[in-house]
Formats: sequence, C-alpha cells, structure tokens
Amino acid sequence: MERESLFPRNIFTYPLAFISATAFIVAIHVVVLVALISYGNSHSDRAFTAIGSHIIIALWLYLTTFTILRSRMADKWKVLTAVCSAILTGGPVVYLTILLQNSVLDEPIHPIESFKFLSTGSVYVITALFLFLQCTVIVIWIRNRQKTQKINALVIENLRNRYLALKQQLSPHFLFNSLNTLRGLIGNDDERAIDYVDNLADMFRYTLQEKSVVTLRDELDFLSAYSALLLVRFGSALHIEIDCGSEYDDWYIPPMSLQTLVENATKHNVISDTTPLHITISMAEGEFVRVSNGRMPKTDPVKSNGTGLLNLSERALLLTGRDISINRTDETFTVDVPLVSPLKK
Amino acid sequence: MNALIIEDEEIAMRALTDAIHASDYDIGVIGKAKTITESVAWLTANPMPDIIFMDINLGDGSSFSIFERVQITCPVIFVTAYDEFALKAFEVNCIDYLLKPITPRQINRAMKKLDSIGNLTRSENIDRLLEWIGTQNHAYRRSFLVAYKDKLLPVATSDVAFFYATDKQTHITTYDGRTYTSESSLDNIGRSLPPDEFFRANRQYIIAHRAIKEITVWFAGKLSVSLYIDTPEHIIVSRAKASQFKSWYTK
Repeated sequence: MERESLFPRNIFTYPLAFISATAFIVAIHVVVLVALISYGNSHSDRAFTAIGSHIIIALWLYLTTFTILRSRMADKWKVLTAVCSAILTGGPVVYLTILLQNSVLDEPIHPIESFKFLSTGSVYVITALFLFLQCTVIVIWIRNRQKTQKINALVIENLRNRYLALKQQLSPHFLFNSLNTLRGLIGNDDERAIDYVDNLADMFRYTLQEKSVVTLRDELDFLSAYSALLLVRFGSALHIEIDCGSEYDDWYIPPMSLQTLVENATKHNVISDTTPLHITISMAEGEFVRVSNGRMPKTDPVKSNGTGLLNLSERALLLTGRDISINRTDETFTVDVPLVSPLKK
Repeated sequence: MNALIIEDEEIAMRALTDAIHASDYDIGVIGKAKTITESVAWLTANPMPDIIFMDINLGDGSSFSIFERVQITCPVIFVTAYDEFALKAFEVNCIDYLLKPITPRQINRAMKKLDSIGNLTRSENIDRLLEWIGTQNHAYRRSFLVAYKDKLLPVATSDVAFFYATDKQTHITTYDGRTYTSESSLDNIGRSLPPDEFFRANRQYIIAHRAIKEITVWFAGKLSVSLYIDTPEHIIVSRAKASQFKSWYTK
C-alpha cells in the first residue's frame, strides 16, 4: 500500500484546524492580557500592543503555513519550508514591531538589553512553530478519527454479516435434526418431548436476537438449552458439564461463542457409546470461560471451512479487546473465551 | 423384506424404525448399527440385507466410507437432515434419499421409486455417487489453525501471501509479513485452497494471486516470480508449469 502524506492537500478539515488553532491562540492571548491588566501591570498599554502584534503575526504565520501545507511539495520539504518561513517572518517582523513599539512608547532599547530582543524574537519563532505543530496535530487527529470510525464501521458491519451467516448456517441442519428427534420422542416419551420443545424454542429465540454482546448468564442459559437438545440426541455418547459458578454472571461475552465451540467439538470428534465425547465449560484464570473437550478426531476429514474459530477470534477481539486462546494437546482441545467486565461496557 | 438401519442417534433410530413399520411395505428391521465400525462389523458378519437405510453423518465419520470398507450389493436409501452437498450429490446421481423428519409417506415414495429402477442401475448409481463425491472439492478452507510461539491461532486464508514447505514443516506467511507453522502438508493444504486464488508454483511454494508483484522470464523457459512479501528463497516456476501458471495468472 502506498504511504499516505501526513499533510494531504485539499483536505476539508484544514479550515476546521485553522479556526480551532486560531481560536486557541487568541484565547490564550486574551487570558494573558486580562491577567496583566487586572493585576495592574504598569505597562498594560505596552502589553496590549505586544499581544496585539503577537496575534497578527500568529495569523500571518498561519496563513503562510496553510499555503505550505496545501502545496504540492513532499512532506519533508513542507516541514522545512514552514520552519524557514517561521524564522524568516518571525525575526524581521519582531524586530520591526519592537522598533515600532519603542518609537511609540519612546523607550529605546538599551544596547545592554539587546538580549531581550533575541529572547523575544525566539519566543515569536517558537510560537510560530508551535502553531504549525498544533495545526498538523489537529489535522492528523481529525483524519485518523475519521479513518478509525470508517474502519470500525466496516469491521462491525462485516462481523455482523458473518454473525448473521453463522446463525443461518446453524439453522436448517440443526432444525431438521431436532424435528426428527422430536418426532421420535412424541408418543414414546411425551415428557421429554415437552422439555425438548421448550429448549428448542428458547434456543431459537436466543439466536434471533441482534445483540453484539450478552451477559455470561444469558449465554450459559442458552448453552444449557442447546446442550439439553444435544444430550437427548446423542444419549450416553455425549457428556456436557457446565460449571462456571455465578461470580461472573453479569460479565459480557460475544453471543453464541460457547455454543460455537460446543458445536465444533461435536462436529470434529467421534461421538459413540464406545468412545463418548466429554465437553466441560468452566472458568479459567484471567476472566476467561474455558471450553475443553476430549480429542478423538473422526476418521474422515470433516467438511468444515474453518470459519467458526476465526469468526470467534475476530468477534472476541473487537468486542472485548482480547483474543481467544486456543490450546491443543493429543488428548484435549481447549479454547478460552475472554469476558468483559460490566463496568467497561 | 429385511432391512439394516444405520443411524447414530438412538431416538432418530426409533423414529426411523417406527416410520418403516408404519409404511405400506412389509419391511422387517433385522439389524441396527450406530457407527461406521458397527456397520462394517454387521455387514461382514451377516448376509446382505434386502435394503439399507443409511444416515450420512455418523458419530465416527461420514457413512460414505462404509462403501470403501465393505462390498454392498443391496439397494441403499440415504437419510439426511439438511446437507446441501449430499442433496446435490443425490440429485446428480439419481440416488434415493429421505429427509428428516422421516414420515411413512416418504418411505413409501422411496420404496416405490426403488421398485421402478433395476438393481444394476442402483449399484452403478452408488458407484457414480462415490466417484462424484471424490472429485468434488466442495468446501475450501477459509482459515487455518496455525502455531505461533506457544499458541494456536486461526489465520484467514485471504490473509495468506504464500505457503512454503521445508523438510519437515509447512510455513504460512501472511501479508503483514508474519510467518506461522502448520501441521498439514503442502499437498493437503493445496487441495483445500480455492484454485482461482492460489497456485502451486513448485514443490516448495503455493502462492496467492494478489501477492504476486512481478513475473520475469528466467533462462530455459522458466519463470521467476517475486512477491510483495519477502520469500525465503527465489520462486521459480518450471518450464512444464509455466504456461499453466501464465493462464492462471491472467484469468
């Protein structure tokens, strides 16, 4: 990617930077002026003239700075020219101003006091450079903010779309399998059939919400409903243990993150009476929820495009600022999902 | 008529048995199997049934692999909840299937259809189905689980500039210049990548289309390819592959 210029031409935020920087410098001068007058400075008339000229020169330097910023020069030449113009304008104009001041006030500079001229001059030059810097900072800040906002909006939109796609993915296969199970339960075990319908309804209602984060309690309730459905289907071949206590109930977590991990575990590993699958959901150190399962990969590679974990990783980073942590050994597969404190939301 | 039912879920098995019994056909369920292993064991130990009802996704893998391990000579009716890939496979190869939730009516329809086609056609159809499944690269990977320092990370396929194989390991380098390692071989990775976006340049490299910066003609008809991201070694495309590479690149 081509590197962008720090001082772009024709950027529409320049007028805003100009106005705010000017307002800032004028305000400071007014404050100083008011302070000098109210403290009964004997040279208040002189201070007034000095500050007046200071504002004029500041505006002059601004105009030259903006002309430079908007020119076609390369970044380094822009900086160099701005510095030179500050010194070249600052020096003589300061000298002239002081001469003018001295003639008006009839207080000529004493040769011994000539260092005052130098110090006052450098103050002007420093002020000019300060203004230049200020302008640059404001322009960069505004530009970055616009860029970040744009990027964030894009990222969120993208993730939202993928999240919606994820929900779509879940639906048909899971729904029809569940309906089939329900059909098998009805008439044979009506009580379980009723529970099954209740859990199915809870689960689908949860997947239809559009929240970007949910509380851990809500996610765990949803996971319980989802697990109950799986347990009816797989019987003793599947064990799911949820033990997260209640300390972090009101902390936040990306929605359907735990369900994604449980679903992944059931998709990739053997589930049979001879090789049952164990999944545990517990708390891990550092405000993480840990989903851990035994590893016994299915013989043929599972048709999976590997979006689940990537999607979860991106959502966790965006919503909590922390990434998920994945660990794999020969026997277990563990994923830690970060939580966000309710205070930080 | 004797039937074998292959289904990994207890309740689904019962639902299927009930539906079979409630159908217009006189079918007796003589065997039930829940996994690939059990199915293979049953089929080796018992004479071939008259018909098999077979769920596609079993607890230990896809039931298509049963066909690779045991010779099946009777008609098979597949059962699936909603698997777009399987449904396409069945439609293309004229295979009978049932959709969950299974009703007696569905069984009647499938059995009737079965009666109307000859036995030979049926087994030919299944052979064609298996062959068709083998050739379909239906799901390209969108991400890889890679090792980075002591952690595992999911990396999006679209972020990968090139894959590079050394003696023992496969390395994955992304556009931001980071390199990860993967357990999969370069061959396996190559098979799971979208062919429009990635090209197997030589034995060591698979490169992404948009990572290519420059292609220059090397001696003896070979091509030298440079990427936007630094590669550990020069990428040379052999003369034999050069024209294939050029047509891939310009497509």
